[in-house]
Amino acid sequence: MQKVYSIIKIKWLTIFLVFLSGLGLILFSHYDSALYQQPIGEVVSVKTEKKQAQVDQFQNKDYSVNQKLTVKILNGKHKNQQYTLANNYSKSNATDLKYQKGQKLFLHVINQDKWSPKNLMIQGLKRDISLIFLIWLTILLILIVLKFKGSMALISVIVNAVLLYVAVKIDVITSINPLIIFSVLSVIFTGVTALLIFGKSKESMVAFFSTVIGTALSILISYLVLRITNDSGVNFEMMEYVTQDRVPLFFACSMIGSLGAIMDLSADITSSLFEIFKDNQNLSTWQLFLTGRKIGSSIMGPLVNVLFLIFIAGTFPMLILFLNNGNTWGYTLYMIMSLGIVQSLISAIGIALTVPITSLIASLLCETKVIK
Amino acid sequence: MSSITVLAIILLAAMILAGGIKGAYAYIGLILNFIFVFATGYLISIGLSAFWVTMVNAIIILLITIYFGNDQGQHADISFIGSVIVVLIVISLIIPILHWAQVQGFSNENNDDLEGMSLLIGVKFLHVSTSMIILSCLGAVAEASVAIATGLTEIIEHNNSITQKELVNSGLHIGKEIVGTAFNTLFFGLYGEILALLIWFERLHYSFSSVINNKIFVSELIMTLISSIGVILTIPVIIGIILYRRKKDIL
Repeated sequence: MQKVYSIIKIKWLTIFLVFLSGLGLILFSHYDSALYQQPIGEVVSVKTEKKQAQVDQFQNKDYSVNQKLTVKILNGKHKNQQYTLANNYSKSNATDLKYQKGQKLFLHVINQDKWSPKNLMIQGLKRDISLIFLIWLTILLILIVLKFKGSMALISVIVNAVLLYVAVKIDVITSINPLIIFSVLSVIFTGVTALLIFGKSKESMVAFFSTVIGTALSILISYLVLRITNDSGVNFEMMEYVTQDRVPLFFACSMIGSLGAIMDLSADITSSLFEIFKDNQNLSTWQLFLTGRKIGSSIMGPLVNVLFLIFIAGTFPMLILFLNNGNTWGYTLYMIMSLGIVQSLISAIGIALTVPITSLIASLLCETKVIK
Repeated sequence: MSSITVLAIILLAAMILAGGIKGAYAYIGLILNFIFVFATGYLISIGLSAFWVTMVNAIIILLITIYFGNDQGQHADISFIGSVIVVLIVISLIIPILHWAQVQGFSNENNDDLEGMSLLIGVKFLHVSTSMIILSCLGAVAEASVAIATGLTEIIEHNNSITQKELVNSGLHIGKEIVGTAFNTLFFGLYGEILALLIWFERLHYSFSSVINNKIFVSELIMTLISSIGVILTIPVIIGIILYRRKKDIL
């Protein structure tokens, strides 16, 4: 069993405080429009016109509707003024939205000097409150169910998010290959997380090295495979949000994406093996290795599934749009899902390889004296 | 041979190396899951009710993930029932959140990919998003419930006279570790998913406020947070089922 030593001991009072501060934060973000530079308008009334049936060239039946929204400005110089703006939405809502009374919208002013309905464009919905609410709910649930035993998990998520942001900054400012930047980041991630889980100990070393070796091996193998097979069947063109060279960025994403699962796996095997060795010092290295492999193999399957479902489900909107645009299964699989599949395969290979690697390193190091 | 075929063969070899016959089973389970995920997308695209298609496929995917290639028995049944309950609770959270946040469909950042495509396809993208978020949390929920159910049934097997209160404490103890590990998996998965998007934001000088209101960013975060909530809820649900079964003398 893995041991998480919670440094902080906090009680119900703190949970109550988090609850209150969360409520405060949600209330605050409800009235935070003044903080935004961009004009925000609240929909005060909606006039909806009749549906117009639409049929596209693939015989998909949809409809479109025109709306007249009366919007009250909530911030800036034009506060409290009302404007009537036009909006058009479809049944599918692929890129448009149906707005309702009470919703808050970001507006774009085309010409700052002339505020008129013609000069105002609806840019999008204000979503910050819903996001803050969900974050708060998650934290609250962790605290209620685990009473701050789960605080280490939260700390680890936040620390890693900050590190990720720094790495993104470095990637944008410099022209270093993103694969190098994010490999360094991954090593730091692994070190920090291992220290958070095990503290300064031999277990940390084992988890650290097996994670780094497992991840590096899976990236190396997949890179070689893609080079040798000339990326056949993999469509890098459809990679989204690309602002730089695609292939290194793709591998950087795959590496970071699988890192958490690989760390968890190696931490699990390591802590179990050390625990077992503590109880039974007579076990040979080979026996320990086999035990580690047995533990790892039962975690491996579910873990691979977790990442697979995340990576594949993410392609869903594009998949459905593509299938409905007259494309065949095979072509859609190639265009939309091939990248997600490769990403899942890379992480799965990493996870599978980490089982024997961790078992080997842990069984070899169990017997050595604690290095401090 | 295509790159995917070669990588798939390497994965099979790696999984057998790691887990022998169990690894091979896990591999087949993965392929089955892929078929059902793709089928979900296909059935929604031809106009079937997204909700029911997702519900049926979600239950099949949970069955495969929990029963296929794992040791069967009490703990597998408990994990399956627990997962279904958690998924139902999570769905009742997903639906209002998605109505509120309105993150369905595509954003300006997708414009290049949408060029030349018909967007009036008659399928509600709100339903597609709901289906996507339900499917994406299944793996995490199943993993957590198997881990807790297995741990607790083992404890009961070793010590049948354990009191209910001690059992709750053991459950919470195991749960603590599950949450720690599951969070790493989920959040690094998220970081890997949004890395390219974050670089895009940074390069095009998005302000903090436009990031936290961005459709795709909020949608990805909702996906991860919902999975995290699913994992957390697994702990009390599984403990509850086990306590109930012990009371009724089924366990």
